[in-house]
Amino acid sequence: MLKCNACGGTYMPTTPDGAPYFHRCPPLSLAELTAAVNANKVQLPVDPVTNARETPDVAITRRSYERANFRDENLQATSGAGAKSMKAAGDDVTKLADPAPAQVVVPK
Amino acid sequence: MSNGPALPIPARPPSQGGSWEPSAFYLRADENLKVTSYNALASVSLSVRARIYTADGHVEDSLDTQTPTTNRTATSTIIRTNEGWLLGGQVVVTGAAPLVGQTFVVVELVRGDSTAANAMQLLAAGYVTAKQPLVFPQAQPQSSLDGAGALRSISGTTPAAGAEISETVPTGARWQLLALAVTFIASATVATRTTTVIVDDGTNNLNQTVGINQATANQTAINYFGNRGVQIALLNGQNVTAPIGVEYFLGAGYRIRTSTGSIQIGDQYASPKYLVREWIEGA
Repeated sequence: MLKCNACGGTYMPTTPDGAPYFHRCPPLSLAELTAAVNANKVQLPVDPVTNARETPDVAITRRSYERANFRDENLQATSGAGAKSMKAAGDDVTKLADPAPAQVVVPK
Repeated sequence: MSNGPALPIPARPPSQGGSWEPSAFYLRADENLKVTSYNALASVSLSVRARIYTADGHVEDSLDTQTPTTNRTATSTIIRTNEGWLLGGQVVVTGAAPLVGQTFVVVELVRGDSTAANAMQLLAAGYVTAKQPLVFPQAQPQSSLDGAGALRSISGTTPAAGAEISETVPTGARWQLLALAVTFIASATVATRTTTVIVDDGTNNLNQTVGINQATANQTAINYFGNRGVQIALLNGQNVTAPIGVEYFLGAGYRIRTSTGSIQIGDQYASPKYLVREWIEGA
């Protein structure tokens, strides 16, 4: 199992059917955006209609907020040079022990 | 390669005034076959078999193998042939058991013997499975978007606490979303959480289900089931059903994700499970 160092998500690099899995960090959640706003990492825009600064719960419905170091393991293309490179390596991953299997056989 | 006995009436190439041709596909000395595969399954191996009626009147067999990558990128192999007529051939799966939608193969007649050789004619295109070889030459090449697609049950990323679920259609794939199951566990912080499921193209929201559940503090687990044809309903206080589009086709880079009103930093989604039909799509 792998842990993404950018978003903290955990995943298996190969799905049970043998196909590779490509992780991509999610956009910020409301809780994460609120924390980023409180830490002055991002400033929310002023609504041109109300002239009031957007709140995180409104802003997150209007646009997607991405991590600067987001990881996107999807390949840039299926042929040519882009077929050898993922879209964004982000902050790399940490290898974890694999979890217990989804199906466990209990002895008689 | 193996040569059989010369046939009693050797054909002659058109340039030598020949009038009897074993097939419509004449390969000049510098022309060969190129096999390109796009595959999404581990341990797939392909066997390429062809028969050539050579200019000196022999039937020559060729047998080559190819091991495709598993990430839907192109893998190309040149099958070198002698001058003569292509009688026919096939691409067969010799490892694993890919489904329709997982291993797409293109066979071309090319001029040159490098993988960058100029393609002169498409001979066949289609999916191969353990039960279905790809025969060439083929009258009607298939698109990689033809057929029923591979039915895949996928377990996605378990997000960090306080983060949302987001699953992306891989490069080189097209999905049709059939079902989605998500479990949410609320932290001890008192708040009314509302989960909605969004489909976007990587940037713009294309669809958003209406969130109806109200997960409160310490609620152990709320299960969300997105299915086609169901109504929004809260069953026994813990299971939520919500509809998803019947014809939900998603291209590479499209996302299936949650957006949770009042999500708290200690809230936790489990790994989402989803059922898709998958095809190979060039990109």
